[in-house]
Amino acid sequence: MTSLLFLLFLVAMVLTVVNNQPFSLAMFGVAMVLTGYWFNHHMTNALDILL
Amino acid sequence: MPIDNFRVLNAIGLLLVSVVLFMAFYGQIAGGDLPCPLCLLQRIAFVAVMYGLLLNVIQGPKPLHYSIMIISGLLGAAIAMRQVLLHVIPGTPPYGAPFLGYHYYTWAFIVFSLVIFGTAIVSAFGSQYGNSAYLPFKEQHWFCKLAIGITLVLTLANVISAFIECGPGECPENPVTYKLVAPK
Repeated sequence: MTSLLFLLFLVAMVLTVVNNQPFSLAMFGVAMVLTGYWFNHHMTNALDILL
Repeated sequence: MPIDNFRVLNAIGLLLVSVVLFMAFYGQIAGGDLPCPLCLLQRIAFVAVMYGLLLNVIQGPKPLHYSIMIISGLLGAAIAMRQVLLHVIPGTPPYGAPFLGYHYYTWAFIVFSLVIFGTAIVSAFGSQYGNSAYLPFKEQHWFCKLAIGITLVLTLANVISAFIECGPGECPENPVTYKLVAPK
């Protein structure tokens, strides 16, 4: 999943280099939403720590 | 070809963020500190900041591109702060080796804060928005070409590194070996 997120940002970058701005921004939007989802997933993990 | 100062300024920003990702790779490869899931998410946020900088270099400076940088910086700061808060809990040892007295996630929070501050300052100069237009890679200033190339290579390196470490699924909480090259 993490490598997929990096890949989506890479694709967004390549799309802007070749001047495909709408698809690049759409790809960035998808990547940001998925990053937020994945952050939330890790934030709500049960913590394996001793208190 | 006249040099667009603000494109070059954003290219300098790309190289500065690249240094941060280089340092993270150095810690990973030379120090043997495999990045945890939150560490990887911070790297993703740095890549997102680089995307905003890249847009400014290639498409020309626009308020939207600076907004992308600020939103990415806020996301990265939130992720870094989450990790800082995890490790201030009593009984929770820090993750990884410190660098100049601070751990990487503390440095990440500081750098994301600087990104947000710097972006707020640079975006205020209205004169840069006058002639924003797409500039193909081959017509870019050599310094901008270098910054674009390093950005793309570093992002690709992160794709490969994250895949070798975590595989297609979820990364382990405390990784000690690479999933795809772990001994059987």
